[in-house]
Amino acid sequence: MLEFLRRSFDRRLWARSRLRDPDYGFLFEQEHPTEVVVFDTETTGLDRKRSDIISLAAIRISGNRLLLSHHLELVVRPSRAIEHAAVAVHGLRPMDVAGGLPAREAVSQFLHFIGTRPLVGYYLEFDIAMVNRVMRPWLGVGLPNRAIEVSGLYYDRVMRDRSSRDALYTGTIDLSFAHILADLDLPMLPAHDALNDALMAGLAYLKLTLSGGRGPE
Amino acid sequence: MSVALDFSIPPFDCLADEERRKLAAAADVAFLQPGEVLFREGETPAHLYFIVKGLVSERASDEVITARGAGDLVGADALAAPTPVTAEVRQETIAQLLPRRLLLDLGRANPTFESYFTQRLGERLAARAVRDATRGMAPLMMAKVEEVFLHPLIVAPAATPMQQAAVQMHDDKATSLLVCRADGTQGIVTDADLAKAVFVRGLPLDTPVEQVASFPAMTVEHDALLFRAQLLMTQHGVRHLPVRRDGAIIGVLELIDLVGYMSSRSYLVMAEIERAASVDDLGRAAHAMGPLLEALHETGMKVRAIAEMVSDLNRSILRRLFGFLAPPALLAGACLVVMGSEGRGEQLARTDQDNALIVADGAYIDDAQLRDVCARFTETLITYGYPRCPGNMMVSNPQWAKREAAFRADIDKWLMHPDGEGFLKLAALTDAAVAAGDPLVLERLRRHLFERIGNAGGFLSHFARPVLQFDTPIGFFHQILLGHGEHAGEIDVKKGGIFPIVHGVRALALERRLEEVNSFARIDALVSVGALERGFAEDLAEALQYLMEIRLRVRLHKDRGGADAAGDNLVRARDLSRLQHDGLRDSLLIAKRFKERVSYHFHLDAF
Repeated sequence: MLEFLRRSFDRRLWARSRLRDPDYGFLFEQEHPTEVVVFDTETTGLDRKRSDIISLAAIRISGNRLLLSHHLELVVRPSRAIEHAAVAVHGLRPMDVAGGLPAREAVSQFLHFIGTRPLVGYYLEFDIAMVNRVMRPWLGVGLPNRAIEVSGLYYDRVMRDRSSRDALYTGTIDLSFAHILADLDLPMLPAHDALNDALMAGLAYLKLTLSGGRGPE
Repeated sequence: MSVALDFSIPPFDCLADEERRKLAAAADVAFLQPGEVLFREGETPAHLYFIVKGLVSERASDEVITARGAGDLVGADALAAPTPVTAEVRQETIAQLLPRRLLLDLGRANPTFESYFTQRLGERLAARAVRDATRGMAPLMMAKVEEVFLHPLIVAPAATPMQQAAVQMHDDKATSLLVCRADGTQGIVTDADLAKAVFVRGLPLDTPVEQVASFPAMTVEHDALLFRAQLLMTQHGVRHLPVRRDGAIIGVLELIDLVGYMSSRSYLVMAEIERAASVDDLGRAAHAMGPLLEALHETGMKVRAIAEMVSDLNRSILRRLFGFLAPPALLAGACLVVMGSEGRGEQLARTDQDNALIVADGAYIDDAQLRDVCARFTETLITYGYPRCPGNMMVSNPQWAKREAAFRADIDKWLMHPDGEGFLKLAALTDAAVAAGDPLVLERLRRHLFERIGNAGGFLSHFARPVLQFDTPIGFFHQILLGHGEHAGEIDVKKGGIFPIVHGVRALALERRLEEVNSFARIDALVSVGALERGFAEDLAEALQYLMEIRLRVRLHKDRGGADAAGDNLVRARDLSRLQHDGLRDSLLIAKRFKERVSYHFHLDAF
């Protein structure tokens, strides 16, 4: 355990040493003690190597509150055309994003917004990769923040519930966002709007970390 | 922003877009756990809570007053003053937090919004009632704008001096004028605008009319529903609405004509009643009442006004029928009265007969003839669509058609030997009102009653007692919402709300020997003799009105989908809209407070 801590600490140090712009050193300070940030992106496509962010929303969570009054919601101008399939998903057309921020400007605002808060999201790996695609060539590092995966929390919860109910678990767990929300008895807002998606992921996070059990059966 | 705050719900529906954006941008979302207390009685919370999902209860000194669910606002009472309730989360709840300060700021700029929070309970109920009523869409409201009289259009160029415009309006007997700019946009100016410009703002008479006109004029399509036009007018506080057809303005709809159109139908029925030349004619007029009443109920007219109209019509029918049937000696020497809710003028439809005939002591009338007239009277009314009184309180029963002296003896007996039946009859007689004949006869009987009451010590306490007979189901919703309700949520608005108010008011009025019979009139009179304070009385009247309205709504509903006479007073909680639910809760709360006061006043706890 100690060994792991030391190593991860070293990794942070190592990453920090590769940071090209000292202005972003704040990312490597001590983790924020009480708050987390839930975030979501909409992109030009689903291939993480070839897609660009076109909108990004982030909401701070403090205690049991989603601080919507201090949320971040950005439209980003992509460097490539939006795939038709993606337009169908999020409804953002090329003309909607033409007036957006340059990607680095957007990510810079995002980094200042999150600071050292852990990041929360659904399929967060993808969103982090999308941000890193902007960060790495520019700052030399990716997001160092701790990541909390909502579907992971959900998986743990279900496994715990099941193991307490019956010793042997068979079958699979549906980890789709819609299923998680429904199972947690959370309201379904219109999806594929970055802010709404972040809000729903935030609610799921609060439910999974605060509440004792799942919703009423 | 597409997040959860629902701006179609009062009071948020009256916010402008910019105000909505401000509010949405300031609202955090909280995930609340059961048991969490949002604020306590006497506190001034920093936020009001708009529930997206979940359940929050409000308690006042240990009694759960209501439960708030999705779409409800918790803490509305706390905006202007410390909250009278404690709010506690009962089920996991997601709520939007609306900063109290921002709501106050929004209220300062938007009086309609503010009034939702600052209005006294009674006013809030009234506002709700209007809103509820405008939702209804029934025959009368299905009428189109073009069916109403439209005032011919007069037009003037924008540069016309005000005085010239006024003269033009005067000559054409118009109260509004369409003002056209060179670019084709049209505005409207009314006589009131001109008067204000001159007398209030002191503008010179040659000011171009453009400067005082409203641009652009709000218009309505010729085939729009009348109800839409009425909404537009009330929402924007205008009394003139230009009407368009194929893009061109064809005339002006005025509020006064709209209202006139709605009520004119009642005058038609009234005229028919007065014109009736035979018992059969009268019957036809009586049957015309049904559709009229249904239409009236949907116009957004206050139940109190509807009740007045209904009792006018009912009494006219009774008077004319009595005139057809009774010989002259009976007409001159007796008084036909209506009793109970009909006497109080609180009937909202043609309902059971509740009538009596008091024959003056000196009148010479043959008993057999009296019986015959009374029997025919009751039977004819049945053919007119007024069912028999289940308690047999009608003139065909000799108990209710007899000499003054016999009624006096009844009153003495009821007062000296109080029992349940006596109370019931006394209550009915207390509410008697003249329908036909010599009003002095009833007047003498009433005076006798007032004199005797003074000598019957403790009687009033017994008389008032039934006020406590039924529980007022406040706190009831709470159980339904939690799903514990065995009888899946029916509420008896009559037993729980209307009866205690009507009877308590009756007892207080009897104590003060007030001549008024109508409950609202009694409440007013109780204020003027100092028996009730004004603020409370107004709340009480609003509550009564609201409960009557809800009952009416239920009844209309049931009439359309299979009648169920016994269930007339039962409101199913799940049939209520959120607004109605709130209104019902507030009204029952007032009824409950009133019961406590009546109970204290007559020392009912001492028995």
